[in-house]
Amino acid sequence: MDFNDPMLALSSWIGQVSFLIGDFGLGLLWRFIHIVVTLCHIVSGIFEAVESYAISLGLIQKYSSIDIEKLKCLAVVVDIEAARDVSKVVELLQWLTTIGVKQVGLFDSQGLLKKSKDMILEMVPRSVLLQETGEKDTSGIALEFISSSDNKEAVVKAANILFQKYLKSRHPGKDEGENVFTETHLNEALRVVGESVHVPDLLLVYGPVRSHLGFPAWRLRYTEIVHMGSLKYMRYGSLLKAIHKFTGVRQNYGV
Amino acid sequence: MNTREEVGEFSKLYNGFMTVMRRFIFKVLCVGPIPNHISFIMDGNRRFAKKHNLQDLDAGHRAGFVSVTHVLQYCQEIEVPYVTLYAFGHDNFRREPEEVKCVMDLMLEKIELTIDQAISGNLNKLKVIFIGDLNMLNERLKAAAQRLMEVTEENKGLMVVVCVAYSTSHEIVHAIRESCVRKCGDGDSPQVLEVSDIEECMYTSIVPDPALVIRTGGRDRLSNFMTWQTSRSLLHTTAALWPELGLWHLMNTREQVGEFSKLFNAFMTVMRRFIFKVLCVGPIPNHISFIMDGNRRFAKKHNLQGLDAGHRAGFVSVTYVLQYCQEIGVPYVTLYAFGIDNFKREPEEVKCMMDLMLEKIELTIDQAISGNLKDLKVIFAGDLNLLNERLKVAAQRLMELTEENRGLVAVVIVAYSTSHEIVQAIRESCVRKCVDGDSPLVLEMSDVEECMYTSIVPDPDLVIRSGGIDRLSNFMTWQSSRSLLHTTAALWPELGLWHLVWAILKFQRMHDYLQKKQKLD
Repeated sequence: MDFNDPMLALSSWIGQVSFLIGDFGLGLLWRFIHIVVTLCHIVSGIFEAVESYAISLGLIQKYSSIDIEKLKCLAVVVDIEAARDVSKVVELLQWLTTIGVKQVGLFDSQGLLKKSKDMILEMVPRSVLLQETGEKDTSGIALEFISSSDNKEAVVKAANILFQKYLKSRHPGKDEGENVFTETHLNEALRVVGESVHVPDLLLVYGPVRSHLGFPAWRLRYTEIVHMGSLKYMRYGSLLKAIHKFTGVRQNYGV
Repeated sequence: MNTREEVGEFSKLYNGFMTVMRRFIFKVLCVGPIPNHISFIMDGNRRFAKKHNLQDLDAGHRAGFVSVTHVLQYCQEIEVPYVTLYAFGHDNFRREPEEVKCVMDLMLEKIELTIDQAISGNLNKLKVIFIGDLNMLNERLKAAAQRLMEVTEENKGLMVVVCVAYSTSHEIVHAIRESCVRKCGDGDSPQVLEVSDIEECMYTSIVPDPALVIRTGGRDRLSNFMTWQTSRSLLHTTAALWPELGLWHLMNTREQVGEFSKLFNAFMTVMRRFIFKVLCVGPIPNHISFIMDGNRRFAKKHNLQGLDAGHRAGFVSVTYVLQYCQEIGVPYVTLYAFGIDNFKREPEEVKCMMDLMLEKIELTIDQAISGNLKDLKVIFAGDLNLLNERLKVAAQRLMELTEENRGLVAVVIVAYSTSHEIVQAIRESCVRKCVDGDSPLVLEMSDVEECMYTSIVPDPDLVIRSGGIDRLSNFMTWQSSRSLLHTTAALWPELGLWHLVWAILKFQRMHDYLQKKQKLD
């Protein structure tokens, strides 16, 4: 039995219906689908909020103790709209201090947090700038302020340093130029340019979208990226949950 | 579908919903008469393995075992009292000795698994019986079969009769011999055999005659199976191979089932195209990147044996994803196939994957030569010098063959990592600057970016990572500053239409925000 005819008929029927519905109809259907999707997000947001409050109140056992030693370096990406509200950032840092995080990198693409650096350092108790602390263990929290200029532009500056090295090593005529181009050399060059090469273990994104928004690509390679929602409505419980989930993660590093 | 941790709960919810729907359908089905005894001739496992290019001798049979569990579950839910499964026939002993051994070992493995289940109390409603010439089985298998029969002897519920080393001819002869011996032993009755004497001694005397015999694999014969007992049975054959047998095959017992599945597939295609039409009302990503993670976990989850089994399953996903992206009209797709970090895996595993890649590339080259790939342009990006000669040559050939094609540009990323890419790009740009005498000896960002492996495509709008992992794993961190990073818990071979649609819907919701960010730069 040949079922092609009925399928062709069905196919052309759908085509005709689409034509009749027209762009307007399709558009309505599309909007309807998006409304449904938004509703799904609202509902799951409510569940998350409830869970977060339960965690904050200590009702869920597994979040009551977190092996914070595993989290050596945390990074936070803040959407620039939110970065204008420094008080929220300070509150977040205070939470992180309570949890016991030792090193936090704060990133926003335009560098607004960098500008408010002094204010933040003042308002967060026992906080220091990362460079000053070096490798010493402090009881407080070491902060680092990062922006887009520390991403691609910094790599290009470091590239120029390597370039100069390459040019110098070429002159004697020997083919030593090759040795200058390794990851180790690039790391070194980045340090010379004044960039940190600390690799964050966990990246928390506070913004509407799960996107790293230009966080330094060189450092981001194996970082766990978690979307936390908007900074304005940040919740302690969600923060604990994200950190706890991270401590359970095991990386293969490709092996 | 949902991008946060709820995905585990979502699929539980989905499974729960499907179970409720299925039970409802069965309730409706049970209004009419239900067969008292269904026999299954489980044919098609080897063809299934061949069709899906599964390498191992028992790969098809393993897939077949999954079908067995589903079918038994459905029969239990429909409340069919007796089920017979034709697992291994007398004739099958004539296969290659390796293959026979493989199947026997698999049977032993599954029986031992079932014994454990029975001991832990998970098999209360199932009684398993093995019939056939059990003396043809090896000692261990025979002992295991007998143990399973003992362990489930007291159970009430579905009785499953597994026919191993069985054939009708052998059964009849054996029954005649047995009944002769009994007659001799029983001095009183007259020395003449009746039909009932013979039937009593048959292996299948423990179950009533089957009402329905379902044979998969599209063949119309009984193949020496229960020809004595099936005088009144409906003999139903389906073109689906045994591992493909599903709920709907079981329900539809007439011959239209082959046409039904064609109709069903065609209907799904039309629905899919319609969904894409609706989706395309909103903005579509210009470039989608896929981090194809989870192949090995998929193989482990489904107990697939070969080193490349998971990756083969993954390749099937690749073909679907490319097809969907082409239908939706996405211009660029990137597939993260193999990273530089992956070279650190076991040498056998790496070799296996390289051989698989070569096989698939050669397959695609054949497709391209026969003119089936007009709308696809394939490019390989990454440090191709790290690949072996044959693979590199094949990749280059495929790139040449598809160079003139218009349509979807599929960039396959092999031997790649962001760190390697950046360092190589810096080196390349330094070399180029030196060679180019005119320009000042200072590197600009555009110089470096021009030399990157991924300079042939625009930055991705959407990065989809399967396998439930939250990191980029050294993949395109430079190019993804403005990308929506979407992660799904589904393993790569499980990624399907709805995962893709959900990711694109998410992209559409965030499109304005991401556009704004791009303008700010």
